[in-house]
Amino acid sequence: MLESIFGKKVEMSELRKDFKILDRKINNKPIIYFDNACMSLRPTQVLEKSGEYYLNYPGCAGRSNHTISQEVGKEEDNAREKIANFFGAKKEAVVFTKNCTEAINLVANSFPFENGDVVLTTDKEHNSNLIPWLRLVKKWEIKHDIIESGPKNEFSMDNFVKKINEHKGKVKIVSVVYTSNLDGVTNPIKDIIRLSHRHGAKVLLDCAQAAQHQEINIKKLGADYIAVSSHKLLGPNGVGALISTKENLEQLNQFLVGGETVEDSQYDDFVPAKIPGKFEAGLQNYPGIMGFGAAIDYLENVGIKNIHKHVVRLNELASAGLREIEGVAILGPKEAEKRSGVLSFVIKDKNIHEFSLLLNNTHNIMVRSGAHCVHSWFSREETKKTLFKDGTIRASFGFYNTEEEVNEFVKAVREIREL
Amino acid sequence: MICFIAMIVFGILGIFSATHRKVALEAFDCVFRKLTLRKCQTGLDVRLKSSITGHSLRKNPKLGKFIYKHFQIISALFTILLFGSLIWTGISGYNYYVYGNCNGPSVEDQGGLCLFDPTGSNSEITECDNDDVNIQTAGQEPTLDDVDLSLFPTYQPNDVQDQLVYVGCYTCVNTRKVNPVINELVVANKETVAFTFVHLPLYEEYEYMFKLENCLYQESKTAFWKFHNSLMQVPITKLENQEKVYSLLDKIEETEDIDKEKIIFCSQTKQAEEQLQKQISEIKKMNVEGTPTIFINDQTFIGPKPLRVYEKQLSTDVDWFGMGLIGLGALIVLMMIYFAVFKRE
Repeated sequence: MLESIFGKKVEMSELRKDFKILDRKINNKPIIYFDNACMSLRPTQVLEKSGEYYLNYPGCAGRSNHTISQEVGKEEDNAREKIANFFGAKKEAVVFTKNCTEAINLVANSFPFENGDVVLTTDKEHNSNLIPWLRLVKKWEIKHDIIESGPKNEFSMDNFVKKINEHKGKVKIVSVVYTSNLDGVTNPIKDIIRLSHRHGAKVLLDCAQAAQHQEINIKKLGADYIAVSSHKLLGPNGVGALISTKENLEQLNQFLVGGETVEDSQYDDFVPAKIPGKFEAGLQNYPGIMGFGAAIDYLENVGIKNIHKHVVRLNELASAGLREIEGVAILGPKEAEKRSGVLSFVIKDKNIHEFSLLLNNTHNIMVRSGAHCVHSWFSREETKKTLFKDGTIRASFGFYNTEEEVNEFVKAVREIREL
Repeated sequence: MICFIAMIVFGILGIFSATHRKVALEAFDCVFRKLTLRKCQTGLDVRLKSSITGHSLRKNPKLGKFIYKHFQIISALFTILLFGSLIWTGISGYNYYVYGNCNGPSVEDQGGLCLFDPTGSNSEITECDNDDVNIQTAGQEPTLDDVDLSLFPTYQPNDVQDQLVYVGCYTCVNTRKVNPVINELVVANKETVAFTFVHLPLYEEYEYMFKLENCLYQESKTAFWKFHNSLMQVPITKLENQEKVYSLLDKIEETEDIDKEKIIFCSQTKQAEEQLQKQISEIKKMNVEGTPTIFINDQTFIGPKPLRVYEKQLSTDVDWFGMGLIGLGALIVLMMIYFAVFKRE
């Protein structure tokens, strides 16, 4: 049972009905979807909203004067407003991108860096928040440095202080993951932002994981840029957003340019459009944007706090169950509440890919195995000496998952372990 | 280990399906890496193991558990069986190519099943039903040892490099089948192949033909070969009638300097009979079961084989196929050594 932030009790079984995929059976067994850190499932309401575009107003927004164009424009605008409100931003400070990765790339490629500027990231970043910076290092004279985690693999403020001082005012961006997709650990964001700003650095937050079960308000946090993906927020694929402030966006140069990014153009020059349009080149993913807006509505109805409470509860259950199985090692803090809805683990002497495939083939339990796009962390010498050197199996819970599913998962792990 | 099997199986399925082609390529990559002492990177072996085990576990948990625990051994066993059958198939293919029969050229081999020749037509012979010529000793190979071939009609070129002895019968369907092939072989190699025809009279009533040929051969070799070709080409039913056989000499008489009546008379004499008996006693030494049986140099062929089979036995033949196989094998080995040594990870 979930309880919404408006005090309205919400029955889990009612919510699950909104996710038709959960009715699917493979080999006469229902599926158990525990890969929400990769992609969340979509409720019917989101699918219907996206479909509405194609059925009712399949046109361009902001170009033509006809009814359909205006309707699309209005829907796009509504969605943008919903997203802005959800993240505590102004409407014009929401830039639609293809996904979180593109949002980060937008900042990386548009920020007015100078030679010798430094970008800091943690040592546990998804490739989407590492590679754009490495590319800058190769392309321009920008430096990239790592904030090493502490001995318990958690964010170390001491190391952060040392690093930022080491670079003596040259740090221009601190780009960190809010909640790690690897072990579910949330970084002390407010402290990071405070310290970064004190040293004149902007903060970019990779909120791909965090946004689905943490309240993220750019104003309250004081962050400069937030990158999110719709597909982890119950929304459609192919759309994400960079959420910022007007001042921060106006500071950025243009990244992708073309139609709709200019007010006017001649053969030898052009006048950029105002924000956010100047960053949204070409026709946008209107059905995706509309679906994104519907997803935000849905999340608000369910309640982010409720979601967080629920997934943590599931994680506690799962973690307790796995700890009783011989040979299981869980990555990250012992306390499940510090790992949100993510449970990364390995089983001694078992191949992680084989194990995850067996979970799928025998019990229809869908988890992920491997490096989870955090290859850099697994390439560290320290990691290579641990049980986690070849990657982990990651179960990530959503609010539509149940305790019965978690019990089934623990039972399946035990059975396969004993093969 | 499982990747070896996957490569073969999906390789065959991939001929018909694009999905399987992708897996076949993955399997090939895995196999090649393993053969060149590198680690497989595709993860195909893990996926296959999980898929097979998962399926078994769903159907029968005990069996699934057994398969999972002993997967390496089971897949090794199947791999060995696969390689064994591939080698066997390769040998069969080679035998079929070289000897016209999957099992080889020997007498015992001719009876076995050959998938490339499922009806066994390449090994079919007509058995001898002539009590005078009851010759074959069971299990023994046909031979030309101690056989006096000078008693039989022979075409001998100046520069003899190969010997072909053709044991056949004019009334034998299988001899008729191979005759054009033998003719082609002999004509193409007339400068180097010594060709002997041994008429094996499968039925007693055709022994007169043997005597007729001997007399004709003594009279004129050219006339004999013409008569021989005529006998091979006329319908078998015509050969049942002695008069019709004699009438074949009429046409030869027109072009060759022979006397038909003289030849017929010669064939009915005591000397002709004695000659026949000498020849039959030599034929008995050959240990031939039926016709056609063809001896080319040291190799014996039972049944009507394709031309390539006989050509391969000639000393003038260049075994391009064999050389190609060896060359390809050497290239593959060199490539594997290169990858194992220089591309080691």
